Amino acid sequence: MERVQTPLAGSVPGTTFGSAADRTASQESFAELLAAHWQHAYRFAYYLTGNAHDSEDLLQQAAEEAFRAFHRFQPGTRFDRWLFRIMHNSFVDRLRRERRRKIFSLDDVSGAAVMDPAAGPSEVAEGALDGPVLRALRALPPDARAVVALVDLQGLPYDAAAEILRCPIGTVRSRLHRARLALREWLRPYVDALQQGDL
Amino acid sequence: MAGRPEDSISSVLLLGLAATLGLTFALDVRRLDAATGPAPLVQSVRARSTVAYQGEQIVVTWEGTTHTVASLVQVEHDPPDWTQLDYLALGPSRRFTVIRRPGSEIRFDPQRRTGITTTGLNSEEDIFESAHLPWLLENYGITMVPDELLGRRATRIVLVPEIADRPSRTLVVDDVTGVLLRSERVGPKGSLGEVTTFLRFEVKPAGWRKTASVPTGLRLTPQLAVRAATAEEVARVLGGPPVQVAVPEGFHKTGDYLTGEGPPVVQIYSDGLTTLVVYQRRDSVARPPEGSELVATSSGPIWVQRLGLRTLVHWSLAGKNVTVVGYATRTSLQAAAERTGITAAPRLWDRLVTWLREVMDWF
Amino acid sequence: MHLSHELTAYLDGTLTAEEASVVAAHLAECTECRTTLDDLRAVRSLLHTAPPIRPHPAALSRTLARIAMVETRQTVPQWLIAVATMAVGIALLLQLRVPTAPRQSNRVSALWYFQQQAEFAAVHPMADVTLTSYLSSALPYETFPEWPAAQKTR
Repeated sequence: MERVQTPLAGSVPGTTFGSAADRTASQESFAELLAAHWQHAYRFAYYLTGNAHDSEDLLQQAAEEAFRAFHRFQPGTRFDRWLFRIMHNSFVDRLRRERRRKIFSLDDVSGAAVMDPAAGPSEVAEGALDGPVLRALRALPPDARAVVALVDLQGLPYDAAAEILRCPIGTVRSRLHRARLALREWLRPYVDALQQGDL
Repeated sequence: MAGRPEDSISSVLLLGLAATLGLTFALDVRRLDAATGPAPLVQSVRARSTVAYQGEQIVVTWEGTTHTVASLVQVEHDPPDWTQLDYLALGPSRRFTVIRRPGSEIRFDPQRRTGITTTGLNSEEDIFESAHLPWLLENYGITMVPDELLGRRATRIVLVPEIADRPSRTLVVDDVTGVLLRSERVGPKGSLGEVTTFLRFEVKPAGWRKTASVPTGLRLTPQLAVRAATAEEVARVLGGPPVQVAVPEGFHKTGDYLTGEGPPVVQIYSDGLTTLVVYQRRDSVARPPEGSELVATSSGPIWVQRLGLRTLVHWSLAGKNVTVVGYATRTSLQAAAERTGITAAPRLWDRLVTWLREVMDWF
Repeated sequence: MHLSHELTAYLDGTLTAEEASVVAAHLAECTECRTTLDDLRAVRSLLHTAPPIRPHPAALSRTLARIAMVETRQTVPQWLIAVATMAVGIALLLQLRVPTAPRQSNRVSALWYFQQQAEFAAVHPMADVTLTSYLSSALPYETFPEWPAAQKTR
């Protein structure tokens, strides 16, 4: 006989956010919300960091931060965008701490591909299952990666990306444009094949 | 008339189809006189314990929309002391024999000679007219038509429920002896669910199986010790009063029982024609039957399983697990569960804590 | 004068109707911009072929357990979370069935209940004995799983 595995959202009676002092209700709502958006959040973390270990790390840290800040979350508003904003901030902070040299900006990328020093040969080999697309993504500077991840890989509209990245919509558009052009260079053989109808 | 099994099934299906289309005899339909039960109905209940006979029946059940199970049965009936049923299941061939005697029933495989023995409950024929019949008259509309089966004059009785959540029943009762020659259950949506009918029938003199005895050398395992229980005993076993299940309309409780196997408390309900069984067990978490399907209601989770015309519904309330099984639709039993009350699903947070604690015990 | 990020907006459909018609008019006359638009379209298509990313099944339970520690600061030792989440994954937490401790298995088949119902139905005066004996014997010699000791009357 078939067994139904119902996804969490929709099968559990509606979460009610009690007063800020009601710690159990707060924990409960947070857990439900986190579970409901977990897969998407993990994917965003993966697109940002490029590997499984760092993405789990990033997500865990962001989840803890989000939990501490949960009293500031407006119930009924979009939890995923709020969480993604925290994740992106966390990611950017982490980069600033880890990198000794200055952060790439898209101005350095005008048309020419720049190697991300983190994407050495071993990492490329490790990502053997990811395919050329994710490898190309890893080669992009962080803000380019973020906007491509949100719009092209996660299918979010410009305004959602703007909310998460805390920038105007116009900035989303221009960053996305330059990121796609940069990826074009990384993925040139595939782009050509696609346009000639070989793919 | 015991032809090939396939012939029997197709004739059963044809008869069933004919009945559904109402293509039986275009004679007067005698409506029920509300004051007394219809005579053939009462007669058929009495005949169970008085008329001896021999014959062959076919039993067909439709389990789900595609799965049909059928069996031929050789019947020897010599009430009250002996009833023997030899089943030969059609398809994957499976033989078993049932022997019912006063106070016990044994079921065994005649080839392997292993089986079970149960001390069942007493039949309720003696309270039929005082209890079940009034309920039946309340809950079912009855029509009767003269009919014929196996060359015998009979009466076809159709019982249609007032509440459309349970099956209709058609009985063909022999006019001379009152023996039930054919029985059909049809689901609320007109789906044929169960048919039992004689293919060959012969009245025998009373006592014709006086010398019958159970075969020797059977290895029988005792099963299902059931006994009637008082309200206090039920409360003691459950650690509190039982859940008052809001059963579908028309059902009345006929007894509380304790069993030695499975959920200890069993409550039986009847609407005059069908039996609804409620099981209760003390348990802090919901442990649904294997194979049941989870359904989320607005109050909490329930688990559902269907088998032919019957439905099983299981849920948790007030520290007890409740299971209800009977000839009712899933909608009807789900509504009963919701009216009774369902414990909300344990929250994710509680589950995490419970699970972590259980794992710590494990270590 | 060539278009730049307007092409991306045009591709994604985020321009107003007037803006889009201006871009379309330009594209009709400018080969280079048309080529760029085609490239953008190709890149976007390639991005849509990226493989799905799946988290480790235990990742959520690990995360939730750590959050629990944020609040309680006691109860569950870290080594235990690490070991436990290896053994029992998020699948349990996401199902509405409450997870049982590994030792117990007291899930009885639903079929047993149906057979029992037929047994009880057999005592009904209107029961069809051949049918009820049949339904209660569908699996005549099945041995049923042990019920846990808790079922015994106290």
